[in-house]
Amino acid sequence: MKLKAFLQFSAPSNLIMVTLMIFPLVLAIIFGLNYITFRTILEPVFVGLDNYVQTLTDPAFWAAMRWTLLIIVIVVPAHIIIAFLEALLLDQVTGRIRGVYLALLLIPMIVVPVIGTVVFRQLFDPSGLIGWFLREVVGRRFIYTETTMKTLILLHTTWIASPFALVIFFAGLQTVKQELVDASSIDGATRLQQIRHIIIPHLRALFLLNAIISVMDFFRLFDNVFVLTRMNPIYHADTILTYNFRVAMIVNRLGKGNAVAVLSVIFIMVALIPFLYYMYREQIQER
Amino acid sequence: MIKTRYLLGFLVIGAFVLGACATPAAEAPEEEAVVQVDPTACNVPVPDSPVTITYFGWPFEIMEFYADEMEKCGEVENIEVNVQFLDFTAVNEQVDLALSGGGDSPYDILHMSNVEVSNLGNNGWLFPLNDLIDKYRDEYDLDDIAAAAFQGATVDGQIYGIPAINNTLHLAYRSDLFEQYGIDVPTNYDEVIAACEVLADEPSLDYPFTLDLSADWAWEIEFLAFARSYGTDYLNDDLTPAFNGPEGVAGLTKMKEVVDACMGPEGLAGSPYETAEVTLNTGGQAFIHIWASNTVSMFDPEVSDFADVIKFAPAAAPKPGSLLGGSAWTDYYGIPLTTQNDPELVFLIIMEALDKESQERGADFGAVTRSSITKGLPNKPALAETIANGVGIYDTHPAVPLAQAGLMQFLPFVGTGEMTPQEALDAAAEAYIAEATAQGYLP
Repeated sequence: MKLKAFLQFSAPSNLIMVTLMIFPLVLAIIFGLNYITFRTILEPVFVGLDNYVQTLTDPAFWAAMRWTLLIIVIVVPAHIIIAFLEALLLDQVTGRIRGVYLALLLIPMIVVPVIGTVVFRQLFDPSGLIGWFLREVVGRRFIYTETTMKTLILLHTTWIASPFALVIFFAGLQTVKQELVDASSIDGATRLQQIRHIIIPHLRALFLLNAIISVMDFFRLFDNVFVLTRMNPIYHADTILTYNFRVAMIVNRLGKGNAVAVLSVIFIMVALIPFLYYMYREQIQER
Repeated sequence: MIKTRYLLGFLVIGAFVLGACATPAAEAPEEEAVVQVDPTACNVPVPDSPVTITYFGWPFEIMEFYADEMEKCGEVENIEVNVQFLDFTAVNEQVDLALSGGGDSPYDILHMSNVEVSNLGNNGWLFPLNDLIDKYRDEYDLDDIAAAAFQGATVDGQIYGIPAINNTLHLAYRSDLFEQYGIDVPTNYDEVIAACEVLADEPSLDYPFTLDLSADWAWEIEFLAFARSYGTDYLNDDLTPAFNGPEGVAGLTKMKEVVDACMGPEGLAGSPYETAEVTLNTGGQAFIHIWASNTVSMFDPEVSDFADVIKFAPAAAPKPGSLLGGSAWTDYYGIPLTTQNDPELVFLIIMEALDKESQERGADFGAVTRSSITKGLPNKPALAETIANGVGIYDTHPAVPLAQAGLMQFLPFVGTGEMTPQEALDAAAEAYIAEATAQGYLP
């Protein structure tokens, strides 16, 4: 295809991308070079790279980055494994009951994130079901500490991330050739061997896809952390985005908030490089 | 024999003839039409074209009542009232976002506390109400609302809010437990700590007492009371920080003592006032420091298991013999400067909710602002005494929010022991100085 034709065909999507992604990013970079508060929003003061330097030398920024990366390292494999297992089990179910199971497994994705998180947190309050159970039956009070709060964040994030991966894997399982599975059964392969040598290789691209999407999503983790922690700094559970929110909306430093956002985009791109390189290599090999 | 059709025809024609010839009845003398104005309805003038008035605030019983009153104005032709509730923090964030850019405001009626009124008024984002107040002073008897309440919404002589409710933090306690253990109602925080020590072993309690220290802003509100009770304030006259001096450290140290004696780690994290309200109602706590506006459920036996024994007392004094530990809050209704509707119409809709008749009914839900209304909730005496003898209102200087922001960043770490009171206050002072210098309040 000639370049001119390519540009013409891709013009609509390029226009949308520039309008909705590139332009705001450029604005964020520019705003990050200024000292801006709500009070002075119409009279920004140019401060150069001060906001970026302050962010990169702020221990709270790096603490938020470490916690965000820890969430990614733990939750990405955890939710992929859970979703894959759920998809395998669901694939074994036949009949109308399969739809019921699928609907139940998709509930975390259907519930509004903030509402679901509020209910989740209330379960662990002193008057909540789990709080009561732990206190009255187990004999131990549940206390919101840094450790328990971070554990709740990990559990809840895994819970809300699994349905999307489940849908991807379940759709992929429908494309597995039954002849291959039957042939392997005849050859004496166990179910585990079939999963390991037939299904997983067949779904390799989907594992990678889920990983890329979840890495990007968890870098933007905000809703459940905001609701669970109520932005109380004692939990040391700020993710990059809640740190960004704290800088912009609580400390009221809008320019620095933009600088944090720009740096977050850079870090996300850096984090995705290995995945994108792996995909590129896969495509080259397939050619 | 006359056929039926001819008979009917004669009857119909006859009826017409008789009707035409009938002598009209003597006209009854005109009575003056008496227009019955429903005092509970909205009586604002009909606008020339359809308008949508958007109310924006956070909900609790009396504010929901006022919002319902304003929604009645939606029954007036050409008026639609759209009520939006979010939680307190979200409302303030959304208002900052909406008004800071200077464009048309999506909101017409803003629910604000005295802190927000001074912030928004200092930023020039609110419509000054002086002329409207003067115009409608007699019609709505605005002198019935204390001048001091209006003063809390006044910045540089401009009034930016109509007082809607009075509020403060005071004590709510289980009188049955206090009697059982021989505890007098605490008047200062030394007595609060002593009461906690007595109640520590009561098996029915999760913990004896809580302040709301569940969020950074909650720490800051309590710290103001403790700091002022110990004799200091946030800023000196030259806007340098005063809160990290010996008095501020003493106040914060006392807060830490309360946390350790009464709340512990569980109470510290689980102390939002909404939760405290529930745990007092269900018997999990003996006494709490709660907003007056959040006590309505405690009188209701359908909601509270202990409605017959829960009683109220003024806030305890952080320093014995000093000011009571409750700051004076008034919630206001204001109008953004960039409202897209006629400010006078918006003002009238607000006044329909704050007129005497409405506040008479509203007094069943909270502390109204009209002095002539004597009835109130059972906690009204406690509220009144706390406001009268408490630490007063926030300073309206625009540098104060910077001090608040600095304090919010570091005060919570005192509760967990990660920072000492002096360390936390010095860190907050450093953060304040950096921001105040950048914004020109300090050289």
